[in-house]
Amino acid sequence: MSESSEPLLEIKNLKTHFKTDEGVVRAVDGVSYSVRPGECVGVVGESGSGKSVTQITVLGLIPQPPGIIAGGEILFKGQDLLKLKPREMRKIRGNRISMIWQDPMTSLNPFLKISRQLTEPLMTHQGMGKEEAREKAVEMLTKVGIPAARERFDQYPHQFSGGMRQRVMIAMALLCQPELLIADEPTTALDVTIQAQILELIKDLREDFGTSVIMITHDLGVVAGMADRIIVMYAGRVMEEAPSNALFHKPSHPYTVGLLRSVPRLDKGRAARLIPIPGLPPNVAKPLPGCPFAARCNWAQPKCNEAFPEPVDFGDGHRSYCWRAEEVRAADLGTHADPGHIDAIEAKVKAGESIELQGEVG
Amino acid sequence: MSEQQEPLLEVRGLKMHFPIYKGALIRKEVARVKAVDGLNFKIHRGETLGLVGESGCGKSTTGRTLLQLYTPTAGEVIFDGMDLVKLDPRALHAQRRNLQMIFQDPYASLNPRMTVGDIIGEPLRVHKLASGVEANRRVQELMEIVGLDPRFVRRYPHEFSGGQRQRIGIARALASRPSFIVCDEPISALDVSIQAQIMNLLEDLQQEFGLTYLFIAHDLAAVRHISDRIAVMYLGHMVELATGERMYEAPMHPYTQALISAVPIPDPEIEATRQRIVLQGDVPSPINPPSGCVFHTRCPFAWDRCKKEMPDFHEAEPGHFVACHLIDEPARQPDAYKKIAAGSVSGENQGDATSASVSAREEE
Amino acid sequence: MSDSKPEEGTQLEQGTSLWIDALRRLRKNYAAMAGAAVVLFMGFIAIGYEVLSASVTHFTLDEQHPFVAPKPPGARSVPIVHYDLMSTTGEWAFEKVDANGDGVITDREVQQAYWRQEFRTLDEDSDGSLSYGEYVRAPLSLPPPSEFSTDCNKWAMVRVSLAPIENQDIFLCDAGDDGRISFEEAGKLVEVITIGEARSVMALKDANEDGELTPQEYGGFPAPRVNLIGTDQLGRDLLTRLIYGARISLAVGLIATLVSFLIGVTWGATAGFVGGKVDNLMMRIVDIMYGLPFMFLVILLISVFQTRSLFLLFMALGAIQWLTMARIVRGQVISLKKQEFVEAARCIGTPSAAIIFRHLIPNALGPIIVYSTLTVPAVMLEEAFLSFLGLGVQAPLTSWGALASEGRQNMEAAPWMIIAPGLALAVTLLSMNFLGDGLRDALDPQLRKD
Repeated sequence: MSESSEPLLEIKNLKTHFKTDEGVVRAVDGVSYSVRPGECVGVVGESGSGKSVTQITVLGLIPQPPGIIAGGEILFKGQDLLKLKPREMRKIRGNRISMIWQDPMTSLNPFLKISRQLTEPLMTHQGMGKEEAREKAVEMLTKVGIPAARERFDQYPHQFSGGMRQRVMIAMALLCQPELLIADEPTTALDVTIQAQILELIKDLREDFGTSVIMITHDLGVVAGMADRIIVMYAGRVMEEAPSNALFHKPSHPYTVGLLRSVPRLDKGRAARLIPIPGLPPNVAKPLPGCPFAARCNWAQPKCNEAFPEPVDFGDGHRSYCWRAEEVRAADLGTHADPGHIDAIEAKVKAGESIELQGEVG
Repeated sequence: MSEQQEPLLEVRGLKMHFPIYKGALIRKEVARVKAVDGLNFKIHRGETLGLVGESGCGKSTTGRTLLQLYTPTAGEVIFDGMDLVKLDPRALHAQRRNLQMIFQDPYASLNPRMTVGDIIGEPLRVHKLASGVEANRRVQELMEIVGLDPRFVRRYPHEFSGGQRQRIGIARALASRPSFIVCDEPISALDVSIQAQIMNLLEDLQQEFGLTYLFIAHDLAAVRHISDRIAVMYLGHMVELATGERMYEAPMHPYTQALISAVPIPDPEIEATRQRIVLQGDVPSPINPPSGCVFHTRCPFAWDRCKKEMPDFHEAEPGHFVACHLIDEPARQPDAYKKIAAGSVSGENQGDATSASVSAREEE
Repeated sequence: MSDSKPEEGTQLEQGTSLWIDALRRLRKNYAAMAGAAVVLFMGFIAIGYEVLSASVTHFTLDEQHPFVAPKPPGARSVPIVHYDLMSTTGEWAFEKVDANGDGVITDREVQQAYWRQEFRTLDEDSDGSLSYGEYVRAPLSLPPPSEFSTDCNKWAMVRVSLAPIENQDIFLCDAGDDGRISFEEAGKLVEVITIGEARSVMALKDANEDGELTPQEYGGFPAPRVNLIGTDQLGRDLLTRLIYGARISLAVGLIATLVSFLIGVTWGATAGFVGGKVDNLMMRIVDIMYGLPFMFLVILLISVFQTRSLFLLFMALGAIQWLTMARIVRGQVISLKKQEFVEAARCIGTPSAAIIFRHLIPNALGPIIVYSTLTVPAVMLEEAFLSFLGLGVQAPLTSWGALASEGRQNMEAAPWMIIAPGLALAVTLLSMNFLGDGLRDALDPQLRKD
């Protein structure tokens, strides 16, 4: 819908490294993607993929040292956040860009009343008076679905349940009407039924406020229903980015295919056996020149270990960082694919044959 | 199919209450956490019974109580014809080799000061099943079975990744050749790409050694994938138990219906058309559970009777157990409920999962 | 240990245990390694007192070499126990020592011989008299007390007890008309041996105990030795006492820590493992004992019993420290008891004793070791405190605390007496704390999550 509009956030070749005893950990190693106004972008990856570190870098919260921002740009409405002074960054963080953290238990200060924690950003960032800020905060709490918000306004975080606390967090994040909301595994610590509540809430609020959302998660199911576009990350790199439907139905990267096929689905019975990705995630402290996924990839060729692939663009914002992206795409291994077809392709790939490109590409 | 078989394990009226004490010098019981409050179910030989529920519903406590890691407050756990609760310590010790457990946290479940060989070999030593060279040989064999390099027998747990550690835990559980294994959230601490490896391993081992699993997890999709039958728990009670297909196609308890609808499916097309039943509020405290049906505070269909009277956990149709008053008062069943419970919402063709799911959940 | 071979004789990979891993991290911590080196050094010194006393300092713990005041660093005394005989030629030939030539050596002559030797040592250019420079370099120099005037008459009243100082006028008071100090004028400068000591030295050779040495009996006298860091007010060699003090101080630290370790670990582990009412009762006892002003009790106890035995001291100090140890161990055991690997062991059917020894203790050991390393300096400080109050070890035994206490009484006139034990105590305590901190960092399981 808004493909042509100016991106709200543009991350260009970002590199965030950490110095450790074992060497330099390349947590984020040349990541580029953008978020357009009003869009919900899902970032999917396993632990250590760099999906959270990228966003923490965006917020300017990487501790340095041990962190080093080794390169890249983060353009927020054309302004490079990496070049801002801490004081200027504070004006953006929590005001124009907000974050919802995974654990609502630890991200609210247990010693301060909810009222204090909610009104303070309004008074500092927006210069509101105390009464005005209170009104605004209570209104926001009501919007995120906290029953009897006015009565509970002066309670402490521990007096709220886990789901309610996450709602308070969301209210807090949305108070200053940010242009971008970063949600880092917002539902991982919550139960399924509560997760459903929170996801619905984020969806509704996004419609109401027109906020762009970056949804970081390891759960493909969560982003399937939420995101307009999905970024798949692995070992500090973007593997594939695509509009949601395309990612699930026309996956063009072996890692995406692997993820889709290794996740059990409620709507599929016992019959379908999971096909796991073999091997283990790589050690990001020992960087390799090539594609980090090559060691676990059935499609890998000698070339994959030599250089990280250039993105292959299929149009509509669908890019895959794989030397054999076109073949993978042509093999049609999406969620609709027939298991027999997948097995046949796998057999061919393992035998080292190339997959003929059929039909139109892109 | 499994209904005809004799049960390997039968649980009758199982209760596990944890007292809460107060007072500095004189301790007084002030309250009880009713973690498990009256369970009745059977686990058949060779099957996988999935146990799902949200945090605090008592599913982990159930698993641990079955294995007598806790002494139950009341009830019987009949394993292979013996009531484990009444066994004397010696006899129970002898039985332990038949009952094993795989734990959730691959980091916490292995003693960091012991080598992998010592960890896997511990059941062998404790039950005097093997010693010396024979024990070493067996440990390395077990490592191979679970897909670990037997050369790493002298390594320590911290030298392995999460998935590999979970394999060590599985090898330990297998060492004494048990017949029944409780898998307590064995995959929830693992990365997505590793979860499938472990689930497949568990399935392969079940085939190879004829194991019976109680698979405890909060992830309904994983449970559905691995289980023959699924039991749903809510606040210490079992609310529904049925085969995986029946549970998915025609859930009869309003809580199960909501739970199934809340699980996201990794397919945007399906997600776009699904209707969610979003439950209001939070799970009440097990210290002070609601009267009557424990679910009535969040149930969209509850009426007076639910607040007063606790529903029976009974067989509503062959092999399908449920605890809900709606079952015996069909007149009270709202249309929304009826549609789901009748199984008309999920597609007919289970094989073609996609089309089935696209049409699923049109109604609330 | 290779009692089994995997197929095709492949090499078994040897794992790195957490202990080895912690050691590796400890090695990287330079402060901790320096601390460990110092602690080891102190330990060797404490163990090696006998050897060091015989061959390095040449003095023993309690041999007295009285002088008008504590001797400063560099002064000399004549050892009486661990000595080397000087040659019997040159200045120490029988005829030279027998100054009056009556054929026997008397105590007075021995003393004079030592004094002459000292004078020769001071007389660096061997011109028979001491210049101002030689006077100042003599190891008896003291800082001038402010009230001393340079008036020679007033000075003479106090100079019997004092050594040379950096003051030309005072030098001139001591010196003769020629502006130099001859042997006769040297006075206290050369008095390395008292007449009583001279008698003891002679007695070493005087077989017939007649107070005189004949040429047959004479076979050389003990060589004077330097008191490297001075002496105390009784002329006892401070370095020797410091070395012996290390033994007592470290022993008190170690044994009291061991006492607290044994009581604390048993108490804490029992409370933690058994839990319930037993735990409640045991920990309330600890709470009550925490409430008692323990140091006062120890002081009272020692004062009442009047024995001041080392054993009592060990017990008293250990008894204070075990409370915290018990709490730490209990906390450890309780948190470990809930760990899944302990649950797994119970599930396997591992007996309680094996759970305690194989699963709980090895994992609880880290924090216990760290706390113990930090307890040793704490106990040493407490012992020093008690000794400082005069309630610690009894003379002739000594500890760093007791030495510091003695030093305090002579702080102005003999600052080395407090500097030396104070420095030893400070360096050791600091090193132990560095080591303890290093161990804590190295053993911290938080770092070892992945």
